[in-house]
Amino acid sequence: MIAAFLITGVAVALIMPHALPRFVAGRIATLFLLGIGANGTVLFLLGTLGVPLRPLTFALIPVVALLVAVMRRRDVLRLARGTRVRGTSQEIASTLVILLPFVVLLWTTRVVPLADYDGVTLWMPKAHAVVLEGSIRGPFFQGERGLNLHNRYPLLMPLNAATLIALGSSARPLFVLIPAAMLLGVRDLLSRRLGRAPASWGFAALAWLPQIVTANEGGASSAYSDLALAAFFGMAIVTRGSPGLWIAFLVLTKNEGLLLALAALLYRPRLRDLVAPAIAFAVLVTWQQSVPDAYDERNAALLRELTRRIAWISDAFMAFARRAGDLRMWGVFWPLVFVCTAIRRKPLCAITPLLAALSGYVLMFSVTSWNIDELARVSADRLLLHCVIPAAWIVIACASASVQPKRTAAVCDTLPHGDPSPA
Amino acid sequence: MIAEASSFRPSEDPVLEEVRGRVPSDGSVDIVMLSGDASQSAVFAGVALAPRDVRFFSGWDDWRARRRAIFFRDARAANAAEGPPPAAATIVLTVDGQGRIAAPR
Repeated sequence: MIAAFLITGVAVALIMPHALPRFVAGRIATLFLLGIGANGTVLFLLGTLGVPLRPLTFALIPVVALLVAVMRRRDVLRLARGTRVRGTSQEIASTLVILLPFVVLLWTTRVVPLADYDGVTLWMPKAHAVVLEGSIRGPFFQGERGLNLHNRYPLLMPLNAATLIALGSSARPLFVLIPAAMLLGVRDLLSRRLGRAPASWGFAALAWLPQIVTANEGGASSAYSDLALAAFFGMAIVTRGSPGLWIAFLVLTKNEGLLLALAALLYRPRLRDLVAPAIAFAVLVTWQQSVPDAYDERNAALLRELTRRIAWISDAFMAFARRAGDLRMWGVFWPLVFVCTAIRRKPLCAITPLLAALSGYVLMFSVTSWNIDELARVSADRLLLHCVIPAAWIVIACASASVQPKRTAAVCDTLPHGDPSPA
Repeated sequence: MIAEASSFRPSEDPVLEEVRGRVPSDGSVDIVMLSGDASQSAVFAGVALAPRDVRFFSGWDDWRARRRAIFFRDARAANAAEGPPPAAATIVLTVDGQGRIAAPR
C-alpha cells in the first residue's frame, strides 16, 4: 500500500516537472514525499468539496496516477533512464546508515503499540473518523461523536493515514518512512552543492539523532505530523525547482506550516510560487469554516497581545535554547548550528528560512496563554525538528567549506533560484 | 497538548474491554471524571472506546446537569462549543486521578 504514494509521486512529477535527485535512493525518496503530499492534498480538496471519502475514493488516486503514468510512459521511461542506479561507495554506505534505524523501527512499530500523546488522542482518531464517516465534515468533526481535540487542525497526514487504514493496511510505516525519505531526498538534492562526501555523512549522522529516531513524542515511531512538516519544509528549502507544491503541503499539514510557508516564501519571494500555497490556504480556510473550533488556538488573538508581552521574548528564547541544548535529544547538533552560523564569513542561504521560522516560534511562545517553560517542555523539541534540514545544511556546508575551501562559494551563496536541473 | 503521554494503557484495561463488548459501535458512553487530573487518563479511555459516542463530564454534578467537560479553559483560545445537552448514554464510567476506571451503574 505504501507503494501507492510512490505511484502518485511519479504522476505528480510527470504533470508538474520537479527537480529530482539523480541517484536512485534520493529520487525514490523525493517521489515518495511528493506522493504523500499530493495524496493528502487531493483528499483534502475532495473532502472539502463534499466528495465521500470511501475506500473507492482512496484507491482511485493511485489508480488515476497509474493511468497518468501509462499514458505518459515515454516520460516515465525518460525518468527511469535519468536515474543513476549505481552509487558511489559513499552513497551506498550513507544510504545503509540512514535506512538502518528506520528498518528497525518498521519492525518495532509492528509489535509496540502507539504510545505518544498526540498520535493516540489527536491524529489517529481523526484518521479513523475519516475512514468511519467517509467525510472530513462528519459527526466527529461536528463535535457530535467523541472528543476531537484541536478540531480545526489541518488534515493532510490524517488523510494519508486514513488512506492506508481504508485500504486495509497499518498507518504506522508511513510515519517511519517519512524521515528516511526526507534524509535521502535532501542528501541527494544537496550533494552537488555540498559535495558528495559531506552530504552523505552529514545526513547519515542526522538519521541517528534521538529526536528523530527514538523520541516518543514526535519521533519516527510516533504518529505526530512534525516529521512530515520537517520533510516538506526541508524540500521547499533545498529544491532547485519551484517550491510551490512543497509549500502548499506545509499549509495543509499543521498550523505551524503557515509560519514555515512564510519562511520558505521569504527565502525565495517569487509570485509564481504563491499559486499552489494560496489554493491550499483557500481549501484549508473553507474546510475550517465548515467545522466548529474545539480547543484550537486563536493565534491572531494571541498575536495582538504581542506589544504587551514583548518583554517575554527573552524568556521564550531561553526556553528554546534550553531544549536545543538538551544533549539527550539533540546531542551537539544545535550548538554546532550556532557555532557554524557564527564562524561563517559569508551569509549562508539556509539561515534566512531557519531564522525566520525560529523567530516566529519564539514570538508564538512569548504570547502563549500557557506557562512558557511548560509549553517548551511539551513542544519545543518538535518545533526545532521542523527546522532540522536548513540547520543541518548550515553545519554540513560549514564542514564542507573547511575540507574543500574551493567549494565555499558554490555551497550556498550562489544558490540557483529556479534552476530546474536535477542535482 | 495537555501533557506528555500517560502511562495509562487503555488497551489493557479490563473495564474498557468489557465496555467494548457490551456497547455497540453506535452506542454512547458517559465518562465522569472524579478529579481534575483524571482528564489525563479519560482522554485515552475515550479514544479506546471510539467510534462510540464518548461524552466527558467534570464530576457528578455536571453529569446530572448534562454539562460537558471543558478540557482547557482559556479566555484567549477557543474552548470546545458546548452544544446541546447530550441524551442519556448506554453506559456510564468513572475515571479517577490515578486512571482507575469503574462502571458504577
